[in-house]
Amino acid sequence: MLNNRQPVLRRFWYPVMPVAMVDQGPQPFTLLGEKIVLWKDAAGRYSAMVDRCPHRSTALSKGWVEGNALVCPYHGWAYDSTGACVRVPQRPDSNGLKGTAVRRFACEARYGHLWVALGEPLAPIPDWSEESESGYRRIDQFYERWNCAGFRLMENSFDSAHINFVHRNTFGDIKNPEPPPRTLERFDYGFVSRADLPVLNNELQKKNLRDASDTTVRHSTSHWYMPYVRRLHIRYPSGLDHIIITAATPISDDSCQVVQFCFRNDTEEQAKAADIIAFDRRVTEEDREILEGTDFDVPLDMHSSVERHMPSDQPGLLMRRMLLELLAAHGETEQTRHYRFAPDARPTHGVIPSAARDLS
Amino acid sequence: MLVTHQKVLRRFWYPVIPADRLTDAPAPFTLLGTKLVLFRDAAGKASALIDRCCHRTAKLSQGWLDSGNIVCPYHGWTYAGDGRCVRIPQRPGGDPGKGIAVEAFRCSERHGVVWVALEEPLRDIPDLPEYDDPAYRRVFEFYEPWQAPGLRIMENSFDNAHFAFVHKASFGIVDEPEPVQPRLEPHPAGFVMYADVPVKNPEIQKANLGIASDRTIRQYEKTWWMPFSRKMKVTYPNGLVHIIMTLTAPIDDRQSQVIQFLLRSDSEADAPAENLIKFDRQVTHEDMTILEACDHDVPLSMTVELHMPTDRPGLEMRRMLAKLLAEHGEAEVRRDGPVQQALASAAE
Repeated sequence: MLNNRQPVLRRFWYPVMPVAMVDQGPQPFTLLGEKIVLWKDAAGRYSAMVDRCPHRSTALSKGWVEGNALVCPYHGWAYDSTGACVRVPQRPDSNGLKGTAVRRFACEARYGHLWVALGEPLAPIPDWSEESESGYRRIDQFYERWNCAGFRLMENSFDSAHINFVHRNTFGDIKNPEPPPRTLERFDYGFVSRADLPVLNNELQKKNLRDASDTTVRHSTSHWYMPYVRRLHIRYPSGLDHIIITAATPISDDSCQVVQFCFRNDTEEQAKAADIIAFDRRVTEEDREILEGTDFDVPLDMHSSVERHMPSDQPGLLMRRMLLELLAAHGETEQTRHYRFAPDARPTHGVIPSAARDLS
Repeated sequence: MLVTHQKVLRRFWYPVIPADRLTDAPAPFTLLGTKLVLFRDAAGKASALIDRCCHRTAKLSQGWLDSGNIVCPYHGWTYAGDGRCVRIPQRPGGDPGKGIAVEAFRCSERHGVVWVALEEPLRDIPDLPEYDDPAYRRVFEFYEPWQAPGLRIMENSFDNAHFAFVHKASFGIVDEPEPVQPRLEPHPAGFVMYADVPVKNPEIQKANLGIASDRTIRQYEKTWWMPFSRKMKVTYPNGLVHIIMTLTAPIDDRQSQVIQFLLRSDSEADAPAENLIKFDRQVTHEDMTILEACDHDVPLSMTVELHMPTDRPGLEMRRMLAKLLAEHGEAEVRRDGPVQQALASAAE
């Protein structure tokens, strides 16, 4: 699926940037190929608009904020948070140009980040009660571009089988490759999955988890919020909660912006945020190295023969199925460059034409 | 000609890596735009598979070898040298079942080089008797990518007219630009060209060749190994034979991977390998600078570029390649004009 070419994906909320960055001044971001500007006016309102002045197409994100208006750096045309043009300096007697406006998008500040929806949202921004619950702290972890499809990061998050290979140097046990069972339960625009994963407990984690044993069990409850947000709630035997929110916000077909923060029910004295980030850093780097080597045009159609499957792939297969259902419900078909679907395209070498059977 | 668009070019053997560089780790290689992983199987045989696990498309070249099988770094799916999946660790006993495989390509080892053909080869890898002849020593020189297509590198190798300009700082005689006309003869690998070319003999070459004069004559016998490799045999007046093997593989439409080594009829005591490499480094850099600045889309049609008599070997290459395409029902694929290009890249 080439996500820039699936209009229904514009109808979801995506976290696009830490609020603190936008507080510094107007910022550019590319969401599903759409160039947007994020900014805050004097009244503290956050806005997301098309990053293009209607006059000479200049990037408004290179401009500045004056009062409640965003000023274009080319000729000073100014726009308020609704996108309306409120001032044209070359016509001082007017209050802007009537009917001239920059398109704006739904924009909300939640969990320390700005969230944007390019179209009418189909599902709300998820409610994570830990944000306001006493006893929990939020640690902002990562904000960075990955050169892979957001989908790859999502299915990776629910894939118990990769841990013992990709994370063999952090918490995976390569000697025990058979993954434990996992439950799957759908809800509107997502699913929840549970698994108990035996993992290795390295030195840094012994400190972070305050658990000296060499192995531990992760009781994990994971939510997938269609299309590119997941919540991974890990409860350790000690009662410690480590809740990781990871979004793979789609920049384009072949890249995503990874936004990650976590909630913890311990304190800075018990485990330093820097150490917690350091461990998750190593883990995400391990994933990143592999995922950036994968094909960004993930085939949703499981009969496409482009990929083979195994039972532990069920969460990723359900994501594919639910996305195909979503596309169908909105009158879309999967857009892909794989030749099976686009006969004019050059064949993708390496496809096995005979592979029709799924392992599951 | 855009090489990745000419299917028949998939039917040749290409030199991808010096054999002694393919040891106990997988190596990625892109051949005609196809991403490959190269490794040695359990029997030590060089193998080439598509660099893409059939499960979740991860790159096998990021994985590792386990008893001559390649292990995908994502979930450990393991493949033998013939592409068969031999282990899926998540399944009981690791049993992969039947019919799981990734595409495997023909892979062979000759003349100290690993060769790959993406589809059934039209002809064998040419013979190189001097490689196994004890009268010759082997000197490895270069293994490196050039930002130039194989055809430019090849025609340059057979072009007597460029010495006086490109190589004026090394062996070209700048005051004698009128080139020696080459003589061409048919050869099973492509063609062979003969020419006796006077060259400058700088200090480093005086020592390398054991020839004290300021000028000497190179008696050339150059064989084109269609499509993108050559054997250049130089005999000097003192009987010394200096063979330069320049073997190139097309990475994509613009780039080539070059392997160069020497076969020499003298000994290390006569001329240290280090000095031979030093001189050839200078010469190849002179060529590289020019060739990387040429258009990668070399036209096979004679009417697009202008020509002169010494261009004949290059024109013969173009003619033979055009004939090859025609015999296989292909038209030459070239880049569109600049306007179409701009539109196409805007649409992407």
